[in-house]
Amino acid sequence: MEISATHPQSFWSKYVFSTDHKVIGAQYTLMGCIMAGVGGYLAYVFRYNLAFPNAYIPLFGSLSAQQYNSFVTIHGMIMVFWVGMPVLLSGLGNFLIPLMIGTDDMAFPTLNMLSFWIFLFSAIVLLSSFFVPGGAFGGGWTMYPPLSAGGYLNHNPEFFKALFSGTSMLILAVALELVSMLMGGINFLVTTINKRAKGMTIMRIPIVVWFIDIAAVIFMFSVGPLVAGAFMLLFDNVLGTGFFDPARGGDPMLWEHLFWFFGHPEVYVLLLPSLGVLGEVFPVFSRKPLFGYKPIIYLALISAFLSVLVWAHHQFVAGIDPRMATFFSIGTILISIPFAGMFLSFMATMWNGTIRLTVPMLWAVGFVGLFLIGGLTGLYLGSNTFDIYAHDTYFVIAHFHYTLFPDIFFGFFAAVYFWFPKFTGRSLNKTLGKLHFWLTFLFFNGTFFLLFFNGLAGQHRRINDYSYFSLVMKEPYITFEKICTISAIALILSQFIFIYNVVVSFAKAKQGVKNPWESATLEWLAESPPPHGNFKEYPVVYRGPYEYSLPGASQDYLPQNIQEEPVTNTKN
Amino acid sequence: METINQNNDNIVFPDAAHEYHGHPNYGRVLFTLLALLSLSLVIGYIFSPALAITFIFATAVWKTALVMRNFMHLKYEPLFLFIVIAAVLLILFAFFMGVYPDITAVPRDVTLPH
Amino acid sequence: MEATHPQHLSLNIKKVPQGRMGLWVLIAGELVIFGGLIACYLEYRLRYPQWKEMAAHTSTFIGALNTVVLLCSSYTIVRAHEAAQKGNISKVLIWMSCTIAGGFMFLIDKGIEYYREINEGFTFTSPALQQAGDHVGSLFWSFYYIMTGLHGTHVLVGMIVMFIIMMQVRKGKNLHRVELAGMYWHMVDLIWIFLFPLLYIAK
Repeated sequence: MEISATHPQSFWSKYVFSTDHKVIGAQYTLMGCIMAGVGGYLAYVFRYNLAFPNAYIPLFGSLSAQQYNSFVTIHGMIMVFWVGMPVLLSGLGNFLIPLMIGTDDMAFPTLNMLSFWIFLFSAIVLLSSFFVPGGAFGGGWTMYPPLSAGGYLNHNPEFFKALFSGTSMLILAVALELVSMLMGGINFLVTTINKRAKGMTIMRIPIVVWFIDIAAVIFMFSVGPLVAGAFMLLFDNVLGTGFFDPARGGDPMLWEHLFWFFGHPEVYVLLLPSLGVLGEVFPVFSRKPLFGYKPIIYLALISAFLSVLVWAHHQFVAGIDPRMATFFSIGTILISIPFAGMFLSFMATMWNGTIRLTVPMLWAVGFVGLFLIGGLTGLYLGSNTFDIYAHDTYFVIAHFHYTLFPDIFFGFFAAVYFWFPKFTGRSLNKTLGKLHFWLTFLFFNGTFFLLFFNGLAGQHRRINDYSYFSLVMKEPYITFEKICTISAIALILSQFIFIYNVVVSFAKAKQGVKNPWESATLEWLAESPPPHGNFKEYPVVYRGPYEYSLPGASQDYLPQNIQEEPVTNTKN
Repeated sequence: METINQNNDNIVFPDAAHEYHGHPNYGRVLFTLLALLSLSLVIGYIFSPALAITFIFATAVWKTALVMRNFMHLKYEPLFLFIVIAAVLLILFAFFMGVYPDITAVPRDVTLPH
Repeated sequence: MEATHPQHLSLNIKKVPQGRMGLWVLIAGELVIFGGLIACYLEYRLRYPQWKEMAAHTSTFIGALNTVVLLCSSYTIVRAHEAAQKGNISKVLIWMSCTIAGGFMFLIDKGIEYYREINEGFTFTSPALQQAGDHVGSLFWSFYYIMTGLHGTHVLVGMIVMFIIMMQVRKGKNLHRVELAGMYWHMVDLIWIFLFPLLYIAK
């Protein structure tokens, strides 16, 4: 099979309608970053409104209660489905899988391109829902009926009017996004199974590829009911059926189950690729083999299995069967065990290592530290007795931002600073990178840590103006709100350091350093940036991905394609 | 301009030398399928409804197994794929059981709309 | 060297050809979508025993006829696949045309059935039932249309895909895709095997 890179390509076929996995990965990542900008802007607007109710918001104007609801809803939607998914699953998967398993491209390149274009279309549908009459959907990102079904007041909706409402467009956008990710998932799995380089056995695949694939499996196996549910909810809106309408025999609880049956595994779909990045970063900068490569994989498989059995802990206050609540409580607390195991393995990797505190390493360590807080508060919330008190308060907000923010952004930035030299041939400024990290770390904590206390004091999370609730809105909680908002603005502003860093590095000439971090996995063998088709000749793999500081080896690290046997044999 | 030749061994082209799987007697499978179908149509007139429904779904599972094993050639595939399909069914069962207490096993007076 | 680094895979999954592997993953994903829908239907079916009166309005004869049509078309596509493996293009074209004809028959049957039911007042929302106060009954028809409609869409997509592949096969290209189209078609068949007893027989 001839590699098409050798043909001359125009700008359009090279960067826009490309089937090259790296270009598609870049498209996904760029799109994710743009959507993160939108999501961040929405967060800025409603956060400002919370600290300074009814004030004029710079760069926006004044915010109505309806707009506040839409902004919160779409902020959640964007950050999970249009930032986390494309950046971590599709972006990283497209960039890394073919290079790390030593092949030229994805198994189905055209399908890959198609999946990006469907994704782009879904993003356009989502954003244009702001401009339809009535504005974007504002009933919470979980889209619970009856709010998401026109309130079930109208049994005979006008088809087109209902189709071009914020609700229907949001449901459509989500359904399209899920279809796009399904296509991507098929590609990732088949590529990893069928296109590995010679000698790349299953137990020699780098951990990040493993984790992206496990995430793709979790996604594909849990998304089905939600796709079916999205059809049902859409028909409730546009045709006036009553699938979730209790007055017509339906049950809104069913939607909650359909949503969370996917929505909870989704958390692990986002978490696993990020953890995989940590699995790559820690060994390289600790110059030690990954502690417990195989156990980590088994733990990930166990967590994948458990992740589809714990979904209803999001519904403890929704009126689910109390006996099932106990079951789901236990499952939720059980699932922390595999993840604790993984984090302990990462820390054990650092133990006694020659630690190089580079920028990606800083992000990785920051991830572990912050996720610990998110994970531990998750244990409280997993217990249904505590959850009944804390549910729908700012405690929950703080908890899931402490899990998802490190997960999506710290994991993403660790990956970006780590692989940027490989995929662009340029390097990012170290000092600016460190500044970016410390400011993000500081202001992230400033934004969300105090919300734990606001939540425990009883602040409900879906109220746009707390000046009406003097019982929960008193000192020090008013000051806390203000600190949160100012930190959030500073957090958003500190991301401009990163943008500046990237722009400056692109203005400079290419350096093309092949392996700046002295890493052992296959992607560092290719040129920087890798050409279309990746490798000059297909690599042959002789060893596991994390052979650092081997006693008896001729150099500090042994890349996977080196045939040399160290004197002391190690397993893997 | 360099070209890289990729080993084509993971694409099976349909010729006799590279046959990936065998071909069972499709006619006989079709006959069994149709026989099972007619049986499931007749059974309702013979047994009590509960027994008939159990039987009907048993034949549906049997028919599925026949189609998957013979028409889709699952019986020539590695064990891995059986595990994947079984996992899918297991997950669906988990979903059904998790939802059952909230949707199906609720008191009758709650479920009847007013 | 080969001995120390054997090309082993513990579960031996690399042997599955790429296209087949992709189709298996796709089928697993589709099974979850339909499985989720069927699970929802079953939850409500067990909750509302009165749905059996509604299920009595579906025509078991047409449903059974459609099952026969789909089973036979599954048979024809697998024969097309067998012929493709032997490189017998004209036979492939004949068997594939039979399959597409089967798809048409299925859709025509389904159309007749829809026509009858809509004439009886059973639509997606069944306004007649709603006015009579039988909201639960109308929910059955919502499920009926969403399930058969989604399945019918799959039949249509399968026919289009099969037609495209037929055009390629006519030029002697992509014979291995006959098998892949076949696998998709069998999946559509499998889903119908479950929809038929759920919607038509179990009364």
